[in-house]
Amino acid sequence: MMNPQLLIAEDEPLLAQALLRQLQKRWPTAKLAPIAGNGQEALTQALACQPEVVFLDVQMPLMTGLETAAALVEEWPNTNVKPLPLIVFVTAYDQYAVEAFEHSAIDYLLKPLRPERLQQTINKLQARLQERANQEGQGQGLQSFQGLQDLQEALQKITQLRTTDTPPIKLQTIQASRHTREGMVIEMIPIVQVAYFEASEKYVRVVTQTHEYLIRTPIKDLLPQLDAKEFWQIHRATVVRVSQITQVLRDEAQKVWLKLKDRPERLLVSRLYSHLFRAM
Amino acid sequence: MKTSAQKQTVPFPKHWRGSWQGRFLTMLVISPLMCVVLWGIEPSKTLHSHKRLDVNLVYGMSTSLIIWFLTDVVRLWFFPRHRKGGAWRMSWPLALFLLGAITLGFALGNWLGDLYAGRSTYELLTYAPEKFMGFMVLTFAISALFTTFFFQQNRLQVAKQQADEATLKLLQSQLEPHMLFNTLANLRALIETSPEQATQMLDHLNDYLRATLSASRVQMHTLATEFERLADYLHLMRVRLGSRLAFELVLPQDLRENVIPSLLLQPLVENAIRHGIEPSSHGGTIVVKATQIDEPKPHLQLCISDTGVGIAKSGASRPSRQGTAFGLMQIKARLQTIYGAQARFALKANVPTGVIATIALPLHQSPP
Repeated sequence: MMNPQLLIAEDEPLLAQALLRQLQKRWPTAKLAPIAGNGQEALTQALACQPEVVFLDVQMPLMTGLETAAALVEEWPNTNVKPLPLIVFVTAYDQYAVEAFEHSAIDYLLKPLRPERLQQTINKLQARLQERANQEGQGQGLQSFQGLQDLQEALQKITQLRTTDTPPIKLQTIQASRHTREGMVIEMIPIVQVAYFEASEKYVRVVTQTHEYLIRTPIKDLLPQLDAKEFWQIHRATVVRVSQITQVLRDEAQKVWLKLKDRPERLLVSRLYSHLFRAM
Repeated sequence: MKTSAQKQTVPFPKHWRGSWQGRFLTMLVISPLMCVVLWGIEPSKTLHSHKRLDVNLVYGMSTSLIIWFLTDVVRLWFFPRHRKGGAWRMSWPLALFLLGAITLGFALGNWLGDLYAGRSTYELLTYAPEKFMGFMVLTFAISALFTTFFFQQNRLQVAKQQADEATLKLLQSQLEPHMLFNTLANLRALIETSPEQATQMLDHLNDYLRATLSASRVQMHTLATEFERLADYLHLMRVRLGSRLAFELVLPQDLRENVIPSLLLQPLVENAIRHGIEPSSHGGTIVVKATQIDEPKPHLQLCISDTGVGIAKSGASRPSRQGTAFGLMQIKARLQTIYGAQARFALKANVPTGVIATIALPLHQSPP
């Protein structure tokens, strides 16, 4: 990999420029993609130009760096033409993120950036890219997703840390509104009846054995209010009741699907969470 | 208040100041003094037609201390909010309570005095009713005077406490690691590329931090000063957010000297940035505007509007939201303490997006 492409996602322009200059100076062979100013832009750009390395600011508008990383993993094309980019998180100070990163193999940088520290990170990235180049052609598919478990664990840890800091009340009932001929009706759904939650556009679908309801609370706000032992996140958009899962299937495209007890449809497990479903 | 000089000369533990111990001590010192003075003015015609100072002292001190005990200590027990550090606001139940307490204290004080003197004050009702009435009026007048004084003292103390809290809250938000390290990171970036701009940014940061630290010493300052502080803060944020932040500060010349609680608007502007502009990809504009409104009564209107992402979208379960709610409650509490029903605070959605915060205040050229 002679000329790797780097993408910077940072919402504060001066900081983005500073990182860009440092990278140009210390990694002259690298090509720098235009700066992405928010999480959404970072995702679109990363999918379009398929860089080797992405620097993600943790606090950004629209999508945080962590959400961007999760989305990138899920939406990265499955064709294996290019391996998933190496991700480096950049943060001024996110107490929870730093704590989660510290105990994992995830690369992160603290703002203000120290040139020595950045140089270390660059050296590490270069070594990893070199390693990848050497292994090219020999089973690169699996290798390219190394570090996914780290990422998933860090994301889960951050949710946990946030939850223990301000423990929300665990949900017992889901209140979903529905329009009927008599007007607006609020349905009270006991949480034990819920098979899974699935995000779509603006809503989250609440699926029970027999019915479907729509609520407006996003998945990320719902998660801390659910019992982590009863409900697992298996995709950016899906949270499933563990006791509903009967079988885990892996298809020829290496995609992982779940079969449920009470529902006929199968649920897709994203790459980020597929390590949760290995045989004992 | 003028009493502050006198207060400093009275040696009692600092934490007694503004507490019931302090007020008890005040009463213990002042009530015999008052008795002696009253006795000295007209020794022959004191209300109990007594020439003896000791009898006068017993009547006067027992009445005043009992009334103090009922209107202060017993009141705290009946009005739990007064105990919990809230400002003592006059209300109908409170006025009735005070009236009852003073009447009861008057009766009990006389009873004690009568026991000592071996006669009955109520005999006065038959042979010198005007004296009895005079005694009663005097008791009520003195009680009203002290109650007003203690209430005023409490109001000032609570206002000071809330101003301190506001400053502390502000310091916390400035020293909040995310804000601090991002500001420093920007400064570091500017030093390399544009030392001149870096110096400017450092000056703003300097002024801003100094203002916050010294704000704890003044509870009220002029709108001109308040707007300068807002400008410092917004300039800092403008460096960080670049073209995503636009702002406008509108302060008419004739309102510049108007006095408001110090750093009252700061948390609202901070909220506008943190929950409105920062989470938005294209940013927005913050407008801070002071206007004099003449209808129905002349008053000052302060308006902070932003075109950011708005209330609903700023993430209902973000961890910072609790802090925000606390900030808004604090503004309300401060307004309530200083202005009572004369001030109003409202928060509503801006069109098409964003938030408008409006504060209505009485016009004041000097501290109220």
